[in-house]
Amino acid sequence: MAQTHGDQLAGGHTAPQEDEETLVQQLRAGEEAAFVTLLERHHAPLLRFLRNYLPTAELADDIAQETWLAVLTGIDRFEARSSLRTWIFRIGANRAQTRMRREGRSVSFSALEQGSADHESDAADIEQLLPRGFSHDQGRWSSMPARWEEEPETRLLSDETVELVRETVQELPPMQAAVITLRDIEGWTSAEVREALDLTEGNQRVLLHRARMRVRKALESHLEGGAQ
Amino acid sequence: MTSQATMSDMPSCHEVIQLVTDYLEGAMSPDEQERFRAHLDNCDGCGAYVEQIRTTVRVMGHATPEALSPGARQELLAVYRKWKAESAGRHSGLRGKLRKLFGR
Repeated sequence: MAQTHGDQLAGGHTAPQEDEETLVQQLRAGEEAAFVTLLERHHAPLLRFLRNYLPTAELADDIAQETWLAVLTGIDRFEARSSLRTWIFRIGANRAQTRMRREGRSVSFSALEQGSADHESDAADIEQLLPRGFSHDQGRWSSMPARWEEEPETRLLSDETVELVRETVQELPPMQAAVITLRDIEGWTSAEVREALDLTEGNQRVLLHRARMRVRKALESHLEGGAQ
Repeated sequence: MTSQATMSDMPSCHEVIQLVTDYLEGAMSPDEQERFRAHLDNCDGCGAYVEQIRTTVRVMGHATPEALSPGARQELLAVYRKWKAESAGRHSGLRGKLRKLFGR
């Protein structure tokens, strides 16, 4: 189900609390329909989310299945201190990270490594990601950035543009990809994102900022043509 | 109550570019926010840039994944039913043992 939440920059949606409590109770009582509802709501986003950490779709399928089993066996212990979806995605993230470590993949999940300001490639990165028309040396705009909000919707939201965004997110470092997927694609609140990914407020925002800069840059090339 | 921000109080264009996420995420103090806004009021370039980021976020909101595929639904329902059968088995096994233990 396509949802439009792009304008809710600071808010995002919140999970309907009461409805969630009912679902948890039904799941505990062994009602299959409750499980199906959860699958319909969260399975596709969960798969997409897991792909940020895992190299293949098969592996993501595998971990998603593992996650659902963990949800079923753990639902009696779920204490509703977090929202249900935060809990589910947190299980997924943990399983994905464990699997990658077990397979000896040197994927960095450290928020600090990907979020701190002293990362070695940062300076180069930041300069490279600056908007077109901004002169780094002079610290001002040498030409005005394009007014994207005046682009026709049909162009901004074309399948091609949306696909480009998906691909760009997929290529981000895992933690950046995970943060922007939950915050901007799924429209979670920043508190939920922090909870699911076990991040501090500051780290979460740095990761989100980096990720948005990269996606903006990709859109810039796409909407305004490749030349710098 | 808020004083008029002066040019010297305002962040530079470079700072605006780096602080845009703090601004859009509502992570600034009222004072910082006021100065950030004052910059945008005076700088068309940064104004357009902030709109580019808003647009970026809006486009991303349309990149939601497809619905649950029928294949995945079948597969996961099978996982569910297997799990349920096994856990029911475990429970009845336990009940059986308890019955034996307490002779009822």
